[in-house]
Amino acid sequence: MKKILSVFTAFLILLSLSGCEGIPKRYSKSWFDVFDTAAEFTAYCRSEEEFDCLCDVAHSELKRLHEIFDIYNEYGFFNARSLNLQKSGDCPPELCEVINLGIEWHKLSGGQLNIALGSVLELWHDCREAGVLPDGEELTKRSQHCDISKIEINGSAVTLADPEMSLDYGALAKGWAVEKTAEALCEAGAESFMLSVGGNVVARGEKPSGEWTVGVESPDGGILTSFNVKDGAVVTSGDYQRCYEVDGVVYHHIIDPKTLWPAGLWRSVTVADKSSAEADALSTTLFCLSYEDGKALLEKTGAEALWVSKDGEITRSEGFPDEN
Amino acid sequence: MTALCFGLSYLEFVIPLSPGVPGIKLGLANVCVTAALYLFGLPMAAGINFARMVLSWLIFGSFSGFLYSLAGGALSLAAMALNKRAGKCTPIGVSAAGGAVHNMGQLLVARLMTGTGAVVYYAPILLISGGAAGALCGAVAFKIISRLRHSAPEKILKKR
Amino acid sequence: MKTDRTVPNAWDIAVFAVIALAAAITLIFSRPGGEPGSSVEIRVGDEIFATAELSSDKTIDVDGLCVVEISGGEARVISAKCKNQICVRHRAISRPGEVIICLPQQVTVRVTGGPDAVI
Repeated sequence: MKKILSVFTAFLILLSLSGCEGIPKRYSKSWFDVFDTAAEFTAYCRSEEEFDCLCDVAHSELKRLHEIFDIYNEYGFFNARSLNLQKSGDCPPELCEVINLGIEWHKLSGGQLNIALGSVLELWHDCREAGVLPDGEELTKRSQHCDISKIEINGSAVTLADPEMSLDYGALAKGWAVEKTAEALCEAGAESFMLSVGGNVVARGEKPSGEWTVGVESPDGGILTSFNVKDGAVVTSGDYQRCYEVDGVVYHHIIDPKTLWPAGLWRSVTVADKSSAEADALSTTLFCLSYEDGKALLEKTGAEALWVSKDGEITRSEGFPDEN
Repeated sequence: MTALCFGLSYLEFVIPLSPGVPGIKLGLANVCVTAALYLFGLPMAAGINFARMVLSWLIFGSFSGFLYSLAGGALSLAAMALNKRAGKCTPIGVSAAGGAVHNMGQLLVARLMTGTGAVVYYAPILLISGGAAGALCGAVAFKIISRLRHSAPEKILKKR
Repeated sequence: MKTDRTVPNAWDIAVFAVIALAAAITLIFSRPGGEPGSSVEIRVGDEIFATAELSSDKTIDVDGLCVVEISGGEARVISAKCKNQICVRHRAISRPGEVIICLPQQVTVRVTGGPDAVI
């Protein structure tokens, strides 16, 4: 009996008093130099040093991936822009992976998600910067060069058989990068954090006060709804995120491959999923699909979605997290 | 007297060196502090407590850890001394109070150092674990105290 | 050797009870309640540049980069030196978690509180 007591005592004493310096505290940091958007990293760490270390991990991984998928700049190695300019080359494994993912998603979405839409999207990008609308004929001409089957992959060597073709990874690169960064953070020992990169959110672990919370912006102001996220991802595609006005009409950045113009079905689509890459691909795709088609696609995956219509009506998929 | 003094100090010395899970401090040191409080009185107990903290700081090299110990240790010793003076509890209750207050002192420092209110979420568990650990330390100390009371020469022990 | 009984007495139990009560009270009070987003936080990069009550009436020059106006329970960016002026065209914000970002100048205007991320 005495032995049990002493062992129990020792155990309880060992369990006692984790010094308060061991209590995780909340830290936050923002970056503005990755993926052309604002990135925010929030984590609960035992010390500022631990947080700074995680920040380095997160930022360096995000920057590295940003450079790989950047179609507007080159950085001294063969990246996404290099591929678009040279039409052929040896690609970094991350780029290969996302290209393959893009091809897979093209099949899964019935052609709705198309990473080969680059030449069309490039025109829209230039027009957006200039504040003008693209020429319809030019758009049609470019759409002839968006055939995804013209991507030839041989191990890490990728070739764009059509010389007028270019790839754009906007539909899934950010989500994929955030997922990869979250993995790197977990590997570095991070247990409780949230990473938000321009509409792509990943959360791991819990805060001391409960689960991480995500709010969906209402297109007309305020917060539409908010819910908890536990070890998953949330991505929103909206018509208010990147847009410009011409003659009083607002044009946003999510181009429907069917019409070559900004999709006009929804104001926003939010997807909650385990995988951030999948959530990103889904939110872009669902934004350009009807509710029925979107629902059908959703059922092929394990994800949930929330649609906001032009009239502000909200539709949730069955398993979408409840409002908290 | 010196022997006993060194005896307890040696025990204190061993404590910081005890292997523990990083981040978890062994509350064993409180056995010594409580025992010292009853056997040698407050000044001696305070001295031993402080020496332990400085030793930990030197050995483990954590200044912020030292600050947290200081806050926790000072407040808990004060609480224990007051409780003892009230004369109603056994060393078990005194040490339990000390343990709980120790953690609250550290929580306060954490709140001040980080400015986030989130640390308060740990208050309930810290209170319970501190109290529990304190009670156990107190029980052990109680045994030590009662043994020594009867076996050691009267003159080295402080009168109640 | 004679030894005393070394068991807890009633007063020790009283101490335990007090600790348990304190734990219960702190547990109740640490429930995350509704967050009243009553202040506006302006950051340049990662540093907090200024904070102000949402209910106040102020015009804040953010380091020459842009001008934030708080009035009528809302905050808005009324002028900025950036090229695309997205921050200026953004509607006024008033609810916890809402944020206006000027990306080129790394200015963030946020209403405190609300969910951990708003997308």
